[in-house]
Amino acid sequence: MASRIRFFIPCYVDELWPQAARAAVELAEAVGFRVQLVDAVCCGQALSNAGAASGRLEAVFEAAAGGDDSEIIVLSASCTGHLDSVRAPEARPAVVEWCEWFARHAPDRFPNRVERCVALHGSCSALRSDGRSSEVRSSRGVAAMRDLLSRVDGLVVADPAFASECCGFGGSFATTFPELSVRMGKDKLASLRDAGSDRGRVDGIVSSDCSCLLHLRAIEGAGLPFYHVAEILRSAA
Amino acid sequence: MTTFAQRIAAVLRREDFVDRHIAALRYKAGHRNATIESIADWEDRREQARALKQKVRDDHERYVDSWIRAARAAGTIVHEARAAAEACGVVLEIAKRHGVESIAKSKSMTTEECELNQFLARHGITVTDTDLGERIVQLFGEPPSHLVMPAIHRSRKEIGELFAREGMCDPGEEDPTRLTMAARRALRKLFLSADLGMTGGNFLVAETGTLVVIENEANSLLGTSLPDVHIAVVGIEKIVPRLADLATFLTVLAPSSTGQRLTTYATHYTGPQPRTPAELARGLAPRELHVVLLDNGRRQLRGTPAEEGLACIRCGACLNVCPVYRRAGGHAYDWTYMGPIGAVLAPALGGGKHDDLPKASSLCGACNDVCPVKIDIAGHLHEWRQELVTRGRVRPGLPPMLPSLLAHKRLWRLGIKTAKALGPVSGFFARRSAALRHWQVGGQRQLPELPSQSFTRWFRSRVSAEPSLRLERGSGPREVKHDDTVRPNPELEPLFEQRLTEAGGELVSSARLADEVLESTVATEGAAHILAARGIDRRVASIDKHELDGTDVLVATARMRIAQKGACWVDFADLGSRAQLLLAETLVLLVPREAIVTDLDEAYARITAETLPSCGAFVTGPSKTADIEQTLVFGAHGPRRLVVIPF
Repeated sequence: MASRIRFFIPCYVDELWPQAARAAVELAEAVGFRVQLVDAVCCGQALSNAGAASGRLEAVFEAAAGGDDSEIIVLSASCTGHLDSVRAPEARPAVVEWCEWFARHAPDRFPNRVERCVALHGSCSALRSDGRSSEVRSSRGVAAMRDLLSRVDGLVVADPAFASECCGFGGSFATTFPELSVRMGKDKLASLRDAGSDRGRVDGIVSSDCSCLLHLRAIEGAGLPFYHVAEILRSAA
Repeated sequence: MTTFAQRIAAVLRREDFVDRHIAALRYKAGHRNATIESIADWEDRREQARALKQKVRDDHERYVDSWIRAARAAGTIVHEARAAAEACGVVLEIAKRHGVESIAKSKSMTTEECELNQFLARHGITVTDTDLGERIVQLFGEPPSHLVMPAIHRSRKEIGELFAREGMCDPGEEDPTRLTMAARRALRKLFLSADLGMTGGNFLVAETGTLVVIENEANSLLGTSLPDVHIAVVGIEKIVPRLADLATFLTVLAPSSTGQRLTTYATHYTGPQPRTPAELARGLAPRELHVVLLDNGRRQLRGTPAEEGLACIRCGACLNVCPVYRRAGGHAYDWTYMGPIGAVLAPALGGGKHDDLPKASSLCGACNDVCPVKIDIAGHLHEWRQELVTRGRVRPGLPPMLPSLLAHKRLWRLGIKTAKALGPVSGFFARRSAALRHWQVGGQRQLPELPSQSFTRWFRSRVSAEPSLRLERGSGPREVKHDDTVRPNPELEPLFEQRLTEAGGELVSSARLADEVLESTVATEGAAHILAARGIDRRVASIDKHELDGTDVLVATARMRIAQKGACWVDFADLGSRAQLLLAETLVLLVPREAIVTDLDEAYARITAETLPSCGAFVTGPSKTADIEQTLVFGAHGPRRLVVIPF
């Protein structure tokens, strides 16, 4: 009997990066979970960061998630971070970022080799998921990504320089200061592209946040494929 | 009036500038990271610093009162200024009373905040900024662009052209060392002739009434030691409870700021410089130390999202890591306090003109990571956004329908469906919607394509409940190892030598003492005694600044060494005059061999309120600056060499 698990797929992943959510679900099912979806669109971060936090979207999320104490797996470090920041520390049900959750259940080795060199993009939320000083130490969120990817044979994971520098998405930031957002994105792309210089040519970029990836992918000359961690793992399964 | 959005867009068109600025700040942040990695109790220190600042804020008026009482008891003249204009008035009054025409002023953000230079100029008083970076921006006629590196936005080429125009160097000079020396020559003359020295202040110690000034160049010390009157303009938030608390603040400040373990000089002023018996015999009036305690809106921050911003120790670490500041430069903020911390203070202190700054952040949180006093900078920017929108001071800048769409799954689906159906005409919306237009930035960023099938539709459309894929569950997450090993206390002597060398100083074993003490050497009285006991006869140095100027080697004494920092504690009572520490090309410090402590906590156990001199300083290496393109140059204003000799 497969055990039940609840997923929250954020609005932009649902509509703009469905392949990540699909991979995440298939992987969960492959290790014996039965996935249910939390019936809410948005965690509320988009409005909150713009200064329009009314609590309305968060209330919709809580209503959809409530009446059940089982943890909710969120396919975005950034949305997990927002929900964590607005909820009481011991609030039920707990929300967990997908990579951190899947690291508990994923196979020790994935069956298929993936002969690639991917650059790891830790989103700001993943980098700062546990309040550690990310400038010096790897955070819980980044550690989970690294852990999962290390279980794929043949896969080389490269770290970019200036890893703690934001990619420039930032929700409404991207349209409030468009030139700045794009410049930050271009600088991030340059670091990611150069990441593998000592271990091979980077041929893809991987992250636990599709929002960063949506922005980076859209920038002219981005030139590389972009993946959520789940997509890479799915290709190794 | 321009907006931050307009200013940043303009800056980004200057790609050479942006490239250089990013590189400079990444370099600076790298220094910080390298240093703090070796500080085992870094996170504890940050927490201590945060808690101490909180403690003072929670009982602010009592701490202000005790600082004022202790400072007055030590002979400091304290003035309280509610507003900038009041502070300017106090300074002018003191200057007039002493017939001052020329002021040597070291780096101070509070005087920038008060626009003091401009005010005094209108009253016929010349203020010369003596920090190299400050001098550069003053000559350019512009404000500082960084809290601690005022001229970081200027290239060596621009600075060379400026100095050549000012007649300070030959045209075409671009070498940071020679440019620094050109400034040194020009400013040395000023130090010798200035009537009054001004500084800001980094810390005010409530327990002892002490004013602490941190610097690398020796320009603050020169400006406060050569003239007879010293005025410090200090924000009321700079108070710390006890002298011993400085161990924590000094431990976190310099690494955050420049990646040094300690700045070259950390000078503790407790009352004015006393007159020598000889000076008293000549009937000279006592020297004066004035501190202007500046409020200028600070007390009103209580209860606003800017309140915790009062804990800021102006290290600049949040600027150095901020991806926005790295690309914008300080001038794009168009306000005294730039970068993330500036954006936290702006809506409260900026007179309503800088309400757009809390949005000048992607809320990435890099600032929070590095803040040495753990201010929740990103959190406060987020709070300001809500507050400013609620009060109607800024607009959220979101499509008006968005909240309702996101709150109702059906409406959301309908909206997406409509957008997909309109696919062929979506170009029309892409041009009409401000958000979509901004997203595209003139074709630099594409609109995302809408996949025909959303995830939810795929999920709901699946017929079989049986997974197509099977994987073996693993044994769980792997341990991620953090290196939390506490290193044992290293031997103090080698540690001191290593740290001193890092700071540009030299350690000489006393066996070689004679080699260092050259022909042209003079010594302080105390040092001369020590040398005489070893059969070396040296003339006692003059106490007069003009006679000391140009001295080759001067030997003085220090009280103790601090191994972790490579620092020496100098009690100025051991000097004939303060100038003796500052005006020789090479300063030799003799320190009793046994007087060595591990770190600042132990040092402050020995420097107590009872034994604190009117002036004392930690001296760590020779005077230095990196204000021209981050190139380290020794001898910015003070000694070019520092030699420490344990005896």
